[in-house]
This record gives sequence, structure tokens and C-alpha cells, in this order.
Amino acid sequence: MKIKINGLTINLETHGKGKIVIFLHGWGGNLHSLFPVARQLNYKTVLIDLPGFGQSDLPNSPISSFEYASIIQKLIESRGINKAVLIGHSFGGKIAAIIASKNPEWLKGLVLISSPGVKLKKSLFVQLKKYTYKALKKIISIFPNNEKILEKLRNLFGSEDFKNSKGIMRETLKIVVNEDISNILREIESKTLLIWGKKDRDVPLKVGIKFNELIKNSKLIVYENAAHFPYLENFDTFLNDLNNFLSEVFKHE
Amino acid sequence: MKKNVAVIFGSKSVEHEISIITANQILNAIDRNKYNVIPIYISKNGIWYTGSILENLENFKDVQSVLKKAKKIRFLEKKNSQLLIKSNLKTYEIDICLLATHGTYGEDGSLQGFCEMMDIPYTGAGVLSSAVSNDKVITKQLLKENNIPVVDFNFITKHEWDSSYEKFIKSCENQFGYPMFIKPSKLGSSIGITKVNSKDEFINAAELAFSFDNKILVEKSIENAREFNCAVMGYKNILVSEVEEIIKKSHFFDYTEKYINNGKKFSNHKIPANVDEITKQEIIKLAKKTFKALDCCGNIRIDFLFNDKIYVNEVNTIPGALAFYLWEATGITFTHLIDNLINIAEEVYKDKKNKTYSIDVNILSLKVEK
Ligand SMILES: Nc1ncnc2c1ncn2[C@@H]1O[C@H](COP(=O)(O)OP(=O)(O)OP(=O)(O)O)[C@@H](O)[C@H]1O
Repeated sequence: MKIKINGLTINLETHGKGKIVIFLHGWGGNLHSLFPVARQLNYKTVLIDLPGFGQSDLPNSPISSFEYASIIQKLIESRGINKAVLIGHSFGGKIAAIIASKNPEWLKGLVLISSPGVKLKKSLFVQLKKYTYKALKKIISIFPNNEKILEKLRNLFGSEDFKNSKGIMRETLKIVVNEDISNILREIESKTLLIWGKKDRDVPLKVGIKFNELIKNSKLIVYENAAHFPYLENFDTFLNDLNNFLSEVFKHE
Repeated sequence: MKKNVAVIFGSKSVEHEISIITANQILNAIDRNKYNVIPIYISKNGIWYTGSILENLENFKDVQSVLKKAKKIRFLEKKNSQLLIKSNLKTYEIDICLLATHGTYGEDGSLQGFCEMMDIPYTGAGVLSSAVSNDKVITKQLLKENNIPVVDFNFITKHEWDSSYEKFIKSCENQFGYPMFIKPSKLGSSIGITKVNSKDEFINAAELAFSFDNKILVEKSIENAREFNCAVMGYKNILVSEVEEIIKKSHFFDYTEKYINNGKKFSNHKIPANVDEITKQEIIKLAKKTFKALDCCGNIRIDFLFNDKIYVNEVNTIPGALAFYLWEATGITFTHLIDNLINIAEEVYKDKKNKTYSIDVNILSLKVEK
């Protein structure tokens, strides 16, 4: 199903019936990324392609997570949804957290899986890498026609996500990786389930612990042998934890 | 800390070679950032080996040389939470066993029982459900009891056959009529299975089946049946994979077609199956019911036959290639499937540890009042 919000066409799919659970995928994913989970639930599930991913339009210009959040919130509210749980993985979790911080009436629970948004002190190596890149960039900027060289440099020093994104999305990624939503997390009132893999190297467990400190009504569950995709790596345990959470938050509805 | 995972394969089974392939696929897919992997090969005569030579499938083209170069395991011991496996030169510490064995002495509860005795977590179904699922007759009886549709069947042991085969054939003829399927009760991969059209063929097929097992079963043939499979995984949940259809080429799907034909595996698998939603939901419902009835955990594959009705035909508690292709079609990679099996094994083990197995009272020393 395609819906227009703020002039952007957004693609979404719904499956099943019952109470509503909304899924937001991570950077570089699409609505299929969380479908393995959605298809096992006895709820009405709504899977959304975030702008710039899957079959949704590319944003017209680079946007921040806050703009993402306002687009998605508008989309949800345009569907007349009055009770739902919001689940986000990685970047999708950050968007979900921002939406939750506005405490919309319809939000009954929040699930954040391996989500970024709190800046940690970078390890010396990572700092060095960034520093070197910035220094080199300055030097190269002096010369005209340096985009190619910059691209090479980025490939050398950038993250996997960064290497794979192009144009507007690359600029968008630049914006979103530098955001810190610590203050916003304090605003969240709804019950929140945090799921992290202990072996996550993209969004380390330390971030999850920080999330758990900052969010009022949260509970953090850590999977020993999981990395950045705990919902797939520990599928059975995750579904059990998720189903327990969903039945708890929907209990009074 | 990385867990040390022993991938165990081979063993005394007619599906020995298929197990080598499954293990090889696992060794290629397992996440080595998370686990240290120790391959363990059980030879056809039951001797245990380890060593990196076991990692490459090519090496198994010459099994004798593999056995020469691999390290023979001389001694096994339990220490703290680990299983210690010792060759002449080295001791390997194992945290968990990942079972990649098929059929006898691997999928039938025996290796599972060994892991239980050694008190080490292992992947897949437990002793009871492995043993039950490995016997087609017992499986069918149990499924029937749970109102899960199975193809009509009859069975006989070797002793009974020798004394009264005429009577048995007659009763099968009356019950089902030709054609029928004759199967050993305990094998997989279509080995020893024959479709028969006459009494003579029946007798030959029975003799063949008895060369593999002491108990055989006879089934009514479901003519022009379509074949569907799906995988079921879980412990705390029952999760069903995408459904596939097997497109048959010869009169029935046998060992040669499945594993040898042109070396092209899976060429005859259609995923997802081209099937209407109602039938698909019925398959999923029966798959869950079967998993539960057999008290399974881990990851199994269930095979169905379908003409105008769905029948559960067979259950594999350690499916070939761990049925990873079915999970891939469901959005779960082979690497993540292995993570899941390990996770479930640890959950099962943890729960077992929380149960009480000994009581701190010595009955023998109790004083009995007279
Ligand atoms: N009753 C039947 N009616 C029709 N076809 C049958 C019947 N029983 C078995 N077959 C055919 O024979 C094949 C093998 O039978 P079955 O699955 O029982 O054997 P198996 O060796 O345990 O299988 P697997 O190869 O799955 O381990 C089936 O896939 C099917 O094509």
C-alpha cells in the first residue's frame, strides 16, 4: 500500500488481524527486514519502508531523524490508529524513540532493538580514524575536482553503511550519525522493552545500558551470543520476550 | 568470551555422507566471530576424530587419508561445565555440541543420550523426541493419537513376517490395495523404500526393507500426491518457516534424485510453494501441532503429502542442511539459524539445570520405626 505524506510516497504493508504492532527497520533495510518477526505474531502488523529505503520515495533533501520521526508519526496518525506498539531496530529504533518522546495518545508500548542515539566516548582508534579523515579532507579541499579523491578517502575511513549509501542518503546518514537523543529519551513515558546483543559491534551494549538509564519505564534484556540482529540471532527467545511484553502492555486495552 | 562449539558429524548411519555435507555447510556458515569451532567426525565404525583436515569437504573424497591425517580422540571427560576431548597431543574444551548427524547413531536419540550423560548442551531435539521421530511407526501412532492426519499404514516385525507373511500381505491388500509403499521403520533419505504393485514385488521390497531394520511399515500409496515441506523451530515458541514444494521427476523421490542427480541439489525445490492460502495455513497448523505432539525443540523439517487432503508423512529432527534454505526464504540466514540452534540448546540446558535430579536424603540410611 502506498500513502503520500508531506509529498513523499511511503510504502507499507499490513498483515494479520488484532491489536496493532508497527515496525520500523534499520538503516539499509526495508520493510522485509522485520517481516520474519511480524509473520510469527498474532497481531495486526504494520511494516513501513522508511523514506529512502525499499519502495518509499527518497527525501527531497537530506533529513534528520527528527524529520523522519515526524513523517512516520504523521503516517501512523493518518491511518486512524488509536492503540499501537511501536518496534524499531537500529536506526528505526531511534526514530521510534523520538516519536515516543512526544508521548502520542495511541502509543501503548515501545520496543527498541540495538538502537543508536547516545554518543559514547569513541575508542582512541576510531577517534584517530575520524581525525585523519578530517585532516586529509581539509588538505584535499584546497584542490578543485576533489570529489573522486574524497570518495576514495571515505571508502578507506568510512563505515559500511556510509560506503553503501549514495547522494541524499549519504548526506542524511552524515546528519543522523551525529545526533544525540539522550535528552529526548528522558521524555518517554510509555513502557519500553530494550533488546541488545552483547556482541554488538555496531551499537554496543553500553548504548543499551545508557538507554535503560535514561528511559523511565524501561527494561533491558541482553542476549549473550547475539550481535546487531538479536531478533534474528535469538529468534525464539526474542519472540518469547516480545510476546510477553505485548500481552502485558495490551492487557488493559 | 567465545563459546567452543563442537560440530559433530558422520557416525554409523547410511546417511553418513549426507551428514558430511551438512556439517560442511555448517562449518562454512557458522559465525566465527562468536564461536570457536571444533569439527568432530565419527567414522563409519564409530571412532571419533578431530582436526582442521575435517573442515574441507574435498578431503572426504579420500576418507582413508582423512582418517590418517585427522587426530584420533582417545579420551573424553567432563570437567566443570565443559566436555574435554583429548587426542594424543591436545585437549579440546567444548561448551556445546552442534549435532550435524543424520539417521542412526546421531539423529535417533543415541548421540543425544550421550550428551545428556556428559551433561553438555546440544542442539536439536532431545532424547525422547529424537527416538520417537526416528521411528516411522511410533511417530504415526503418536500423531494419530493427536488427531494429526497420517497415511493409513500397517507394520510388522521380522519375526512375525517370517512366520506369517502370507497373512500380513493379504491383510494389507484388503486394507489398501496396490500400489503400496514398503519402508523400513527407522531410516531416512528414502533408503530401502519401494513402491510395489504386486505380491511378488511386495515380498522383494519387504526383504530389502528388513535388511535395514527389524520392523517395516506398509502404507497406502497416495497417488499423484504433491509434496510439501516446512521447517519448524523453537523451544519457547513454535515458529514455522516458509513452505516449499518438491517437484518430483521420477516415480518417487529417492536417494539418487535427492542427492546424486547431476550433483544439483535443490533444483527441484520450489520456495515458496505455489499453493492456496487455505492449504498453506492448514500445513502451518499441522506443522505446529506435530512439533508439539512430538515434544520437539530445536529445528525440524516436516514432510507432507497432499492430494485433496494434507497428511504428515515424515519428521526429520536433524534435517539435511538443517533445512537452512527454508529459513532463508523466511528471512533468517543460515548463520542466524545456527545462532538460534545454539541459543535454544543453551536455554534447554539452563532449564534442565534448574530442575531437581537428586534429593538430599539417603533412603538407605533412614531409620524405620517399628
Ligand atoms: N504413502 C505414500 N504415498 C505416496 N508417496 C509416498 C508415500 N510414502 C512415501 N512416498 C514417496 O516416497 C518418498 C520418501 O518417503 P519418506 O519420506 O517416507 O522416506 P524417508 O526416507 O524418510 O524420507 P526423507 O528422504 O525425507 O528422509 C516421499 O518423499 C514420497 O515421494
